Amino acid sequence: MNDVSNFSSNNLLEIKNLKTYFYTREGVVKAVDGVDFNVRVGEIFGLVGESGCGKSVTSLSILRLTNQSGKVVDGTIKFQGRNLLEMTEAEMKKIRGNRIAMVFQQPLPSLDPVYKVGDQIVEALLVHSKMDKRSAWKRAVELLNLVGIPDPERRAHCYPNEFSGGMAQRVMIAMSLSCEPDLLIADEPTTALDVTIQAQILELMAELRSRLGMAVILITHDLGVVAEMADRVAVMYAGRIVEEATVASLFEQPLHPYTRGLIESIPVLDETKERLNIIPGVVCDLIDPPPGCKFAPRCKTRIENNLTICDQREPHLIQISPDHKVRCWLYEDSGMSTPSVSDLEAPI
Amino acid sequence: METTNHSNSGSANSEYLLEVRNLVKYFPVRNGLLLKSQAQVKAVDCVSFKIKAGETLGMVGESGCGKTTVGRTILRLTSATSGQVLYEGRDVLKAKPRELHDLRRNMQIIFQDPYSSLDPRMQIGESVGLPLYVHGMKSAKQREEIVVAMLEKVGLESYHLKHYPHEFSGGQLQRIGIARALTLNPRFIVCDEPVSALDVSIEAQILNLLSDLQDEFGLTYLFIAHNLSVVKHFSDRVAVMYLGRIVELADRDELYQNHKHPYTKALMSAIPLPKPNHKRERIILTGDVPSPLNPPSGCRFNTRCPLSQERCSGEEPGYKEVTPGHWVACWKAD
Repeated sequence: MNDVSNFSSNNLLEIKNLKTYFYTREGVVKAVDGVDFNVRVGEIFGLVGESGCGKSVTSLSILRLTNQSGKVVDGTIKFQGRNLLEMTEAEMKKIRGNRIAMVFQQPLPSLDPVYKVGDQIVEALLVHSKMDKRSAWKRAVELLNLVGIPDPERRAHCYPNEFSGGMAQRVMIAMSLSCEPDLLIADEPTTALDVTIQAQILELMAELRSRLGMAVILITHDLGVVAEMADRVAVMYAGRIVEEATVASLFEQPLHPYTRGLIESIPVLDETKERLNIIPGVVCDLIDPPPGCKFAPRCKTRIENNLTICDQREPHLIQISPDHKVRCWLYEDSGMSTPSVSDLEAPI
Repeated sequence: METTNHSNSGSANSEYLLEVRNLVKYFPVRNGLLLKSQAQVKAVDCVSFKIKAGETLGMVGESGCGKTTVGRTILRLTSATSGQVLYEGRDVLKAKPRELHDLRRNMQIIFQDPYSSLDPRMQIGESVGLPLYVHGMKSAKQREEIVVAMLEKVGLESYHLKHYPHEFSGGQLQRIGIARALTLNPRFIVCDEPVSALDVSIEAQILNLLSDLQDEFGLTYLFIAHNLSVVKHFSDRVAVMYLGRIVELADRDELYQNHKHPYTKALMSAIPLPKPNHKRERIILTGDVPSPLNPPSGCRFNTRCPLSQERCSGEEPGYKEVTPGHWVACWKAD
């Protein structure tokens, strides 16, 4: 695709043209349909969007954890220069939980209820390193201490049901950090938690990132969480990235009508709005999506600007400035470089 | 008790549509062979407030603080342990079945989860029309007319009548839930987290709809939510709950600009704002909310409070009116 950012060894993860489809009785659901982005070493990369936009499927595709009906049909996912999609299952096992770890939305269902949490962390350590059991237990206690669990020696002997949601999420983070991964994928890590607990977990994640230097993909629907945590953000809609920018640039100058709509539609604590600006309609059907821009049926900007092309052809992800890309016909002429002829002709 | 002062100091009674006095709800924890009550979860512990006709009272707090239980107890969907709920001066909690039936015509609820609050085997038309049937409208034709009018009010079409819940998206289902609550033309509606199960872009649609309907029908809302930004957008006055107690209650602008309770302060500062350049001072509370089975003595917030002193764990603070209409339960508030 017309990704003009230079290849740089600074990129930990490079995703190009990722397509993950689900084969269901009703038809093929194009959950992720041509996603490109890079994650740099040590950065927090936010992936934002509403439910069904493909943000979780993107992260599961990275670890090749989509369920049976889901298949990655196209694209490359390069992690430290190697394509994860071409690896054998045995090679993948050495990556999962070791180099790339994941934290899920629901902490309690993600833990096994019949094992002590200490044992669950020990298991992760034993799988990926040559530690003996005793030193692994010691390390598990250290990890629990690192994530701020009080009295870790005693708590390591507790079962998951003895933990609150916030504490269980700390255990999950401790487990994901056990092998000092280079990349942590956090899929809505605070959505199930209360605000005061969310603040604790976000602070912990930011602190661990700067202490351990890992990169984080933070998946969330909460623009506030992204604004506080991330360095760069990609906004997803109907299986595609519609805008990608640094956090400062995205919130100062959102370009895509969908991003603007999202930002305007949320009530913000330190502002008073008489009425919320809404995005009319609902997300398009992913089995039979509209031919042009996927957001066109809901887009007010399209009508205001009398754009007819939106319904017919899909725009490219255009580089507007060094740290800002957008997929919208409005900006087709203002890109920094013109896409190559082959790109324009490619049927999308 | 001092804590009830503010509920009795109102001027004209008629100004208030709903008055809640010292509402208490304990859930027994039953255990053992004879299911004897071993302990009590103090879900709501002495809560008092009033709601004026036509206003929206926001009720905000973290999970387990008792806000939903307050809403359900007001409608007598769960029975209260003690206290009074006066709707236009009539005590809902003591009403006889016949009287309660009449009262409920005026008091309705919109639930949090639109998926589980509609019967999957009933067509939308039946679900929305059921309250009319229950309240004596036996003619199916008449019911259908009202149901269609209601569906159109909430942004759906008449052909949706014959559809089943699984054919709708979450946002549409919530619209149906709203239509059902409105069919009897009630005056008071408990909105129990009406938007927390919805996506952001749909949330805005539903909030706008609720406020349009309020203007059109002169509705009074008790708006229960955990999202402070949503509550601020939607409410005229706001009550903050913690562990079964209201810790602060004030007019919306007063509460958001001039909050006094340390818990409210922490709650406000904990919300991530969608403004990356806007750096604020964060108050990060330590620890979790204590169990309502055994709440801390004295002020319930003292175990997590940054300002906690000796007095806070010994004596429960009463309500102080710091400015007219702004009530705080804290020893340190001035």
